[in-house]
Amino acid sequence: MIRWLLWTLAGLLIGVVVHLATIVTLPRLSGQTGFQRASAIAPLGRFVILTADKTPLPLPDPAIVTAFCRYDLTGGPVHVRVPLNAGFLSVSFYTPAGLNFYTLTDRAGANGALEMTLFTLAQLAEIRAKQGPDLPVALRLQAPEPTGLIVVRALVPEPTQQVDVERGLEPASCR
Amino acid sequence: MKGFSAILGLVYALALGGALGLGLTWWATGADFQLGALRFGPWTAWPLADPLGADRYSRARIARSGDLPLGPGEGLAFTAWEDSAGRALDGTCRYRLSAMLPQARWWTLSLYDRSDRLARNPSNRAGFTSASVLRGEEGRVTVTVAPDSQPGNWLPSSPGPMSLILRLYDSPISTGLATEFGAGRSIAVPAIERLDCVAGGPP
Repeated sequence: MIRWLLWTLAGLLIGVVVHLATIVTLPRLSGQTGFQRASAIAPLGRFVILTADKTPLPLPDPAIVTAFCRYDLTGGPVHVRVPLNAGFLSVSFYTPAGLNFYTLTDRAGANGALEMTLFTLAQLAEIRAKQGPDLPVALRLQAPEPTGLIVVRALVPEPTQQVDVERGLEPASCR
Repeated sequence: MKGFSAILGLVYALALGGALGLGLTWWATGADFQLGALRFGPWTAWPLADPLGADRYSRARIARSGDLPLGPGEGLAFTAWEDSAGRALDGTCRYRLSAMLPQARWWTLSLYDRSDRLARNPSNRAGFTSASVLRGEEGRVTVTVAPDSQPGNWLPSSPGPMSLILRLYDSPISTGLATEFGAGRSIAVPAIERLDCVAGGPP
């Protein structure tokens, strides 16, 4: 009887270990994280524009047009420019773990567009040493990792504006 | 005989541990586990004030969801699987959502089927935005989710389980609620009132 009580105790301990190990490894082993799904369709250095019925992410908002772009800073800083439209628009940056590390909304826009340049810590230090402190004209962002995803979400306020919002995103760039 | 008993014990401990550990992980990364969740009536959201500093459980939940969640300054998504009385949402019933909606520059309300796909219907409408919805007195918004045609803002539903997502974009709530300062504050989300169900629907 005591023997089985001890085996049960061992089972509970194994359970705790299995639970903690799977919680920690799930983001890497899933294969179906949002980042992995979006990376599979996002081109490098260029935006792909997708309507709600085409996006690889689950539970899409039918009123949102999404644009995805993959970046790799090992080849140098990446400049992002996204034209605004009449409604809500946001540019979000995600690490490979699928965590949002920065968001800019249309309220931060100037001259009808959102513009920013993404650097690694080393690149940022280099450009600051060369040019002095940040100039107010260009927003400089430091990426926590050299690779990641840029996601643009543009709201279609009324269904009749669907095509306008999609076309408005076409000049968006991330090189 | 003693060796046989030890092997049996080990198999039992491993099976118990495996099932327990995996079950616990499955539960802890799903919607029923409310760590870090905010509940307002039937609506649930998981705001993250500092996504880069997210704990292991939040990271695992995000990974399993397969989504790229909205950032803290971007917006917040509230999901409802049940009505205000705690009964599972079903496409054969008529629901009324009515509220003075919370402060947000934009919001959208969307309907999903049991497989988390956008509701499909002949009128090709799976949601409303703050711009496309019809407003009543004092800006009050009333939306009816029902299988048959309704006056006003009608979201057509199909039989079966469903869920609703209310997304607030560029709202002070998305940043404020995720911080210590915002903890305990309440916001005006719509109640989901079940009006009636067609024959053959849930009791």
